[in-house]
Amino acid sequence: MITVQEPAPRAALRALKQPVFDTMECPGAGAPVANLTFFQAPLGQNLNVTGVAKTAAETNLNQAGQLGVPQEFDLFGFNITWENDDYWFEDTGAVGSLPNFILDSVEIYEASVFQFFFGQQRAWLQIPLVKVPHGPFCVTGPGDVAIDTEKYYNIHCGESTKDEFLKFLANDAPISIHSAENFSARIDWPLAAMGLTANGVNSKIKVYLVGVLYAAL
Amino acid sequence: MSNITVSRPAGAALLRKLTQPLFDTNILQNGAAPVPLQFFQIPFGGAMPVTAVAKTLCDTNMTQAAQLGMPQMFDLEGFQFEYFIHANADLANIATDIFFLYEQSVFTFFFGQARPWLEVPLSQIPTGTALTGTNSDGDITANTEATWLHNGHASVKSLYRFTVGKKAIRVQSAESFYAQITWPNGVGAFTWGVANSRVRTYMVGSLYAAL
Repeated sequence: MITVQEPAPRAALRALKQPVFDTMECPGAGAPVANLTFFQAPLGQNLNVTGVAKTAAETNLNQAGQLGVPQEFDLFGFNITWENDDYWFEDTGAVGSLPNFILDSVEIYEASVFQFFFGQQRAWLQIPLVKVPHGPFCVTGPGDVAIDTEKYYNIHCGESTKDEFLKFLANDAPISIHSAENFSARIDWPLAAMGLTANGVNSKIKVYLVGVLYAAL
Repeated sequence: MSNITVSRPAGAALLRKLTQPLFDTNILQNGAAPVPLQFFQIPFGGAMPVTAVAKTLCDTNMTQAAQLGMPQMFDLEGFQFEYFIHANADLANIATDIFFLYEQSVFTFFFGQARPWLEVPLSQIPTGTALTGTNSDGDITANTEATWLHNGHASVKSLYRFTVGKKAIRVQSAESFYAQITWPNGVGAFTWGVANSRVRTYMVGSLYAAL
């Protein structure tokens, strides 16, 4: 008796210009970490410092480390943002908060490396974090002084435009991530563990996989 | 009867092309007159100049000195150079140091038999993506200045293109290469703020890595 396996019916997918993104929180100096790993805790799981459940503001990943059937993704590149305080700017106002923000900026960007893992946990990209741009930025332009004792200070990495992302193409073509393929991203601080000042605690780092998501109709 | 041995070529590795730069870090020594800075000569795990701390992945992704090693290859498209000045430093001194760093320095890229393939003032090598934003003068009360300066547009597209006719330069596995920054006319001692500042050179292009 011969049994012939029938392939599962294929889902009809719609191509959407939709990044896959995930968020991790920055710890304080009292509990520094050597790295932060992204795309491992999906929607509904707890953020790493505050323990609050992730919402759609933090991630759009529904499974840990993979897209899940039937979704697929064409990866064009990466954006990474660091949101200190309310956004990417420090506005706590007290004299002395700005030095802390600057110290936190150094802590995040000076000696850190971004890695993207794919398949059998093989690193497909290793690059200093400062070379991965924010992309579009919520606030840009002049206007730094609010009142005498307060200074607004905001930074972003790279020019504030949709065109800015770290391209990760192979032979000028995007890299396809299939439904059940494992992937993750990680930021390492190899020289010293990362822990921010009181102003920076709970600030958030977001990693965006820029590309096209194929989602079920 | 002759005894002839015919060698067989080694099997070729399967390689995957990745958009991945090669990068290496060096240190500008605080309070010292500049010495030639070399890049891509000391691989991962080797001692960083000045600090003597072992290089980690945030310093370099070179695994061999001045060559890729088998079976890797690289398609070189251009260069970027960045410096990372520690914060909370004195802005006046930083302005002086920026002048020292860029005013009379030469970037040279050597390839093969230590032949220079590129000699250009360092100021022509852009930083590429870098920290930027509003308010660079910081908080005068706390005597703190923000010092996120960069060379050229802070863009992924900003690099010194080293392609000829849009064709990248192929670096083979065992070919020697390195980069160097020199100050042929001499220059004063750097005064960088609180610590030694890190400088990185990037070879922008595509790495062919083993599967």
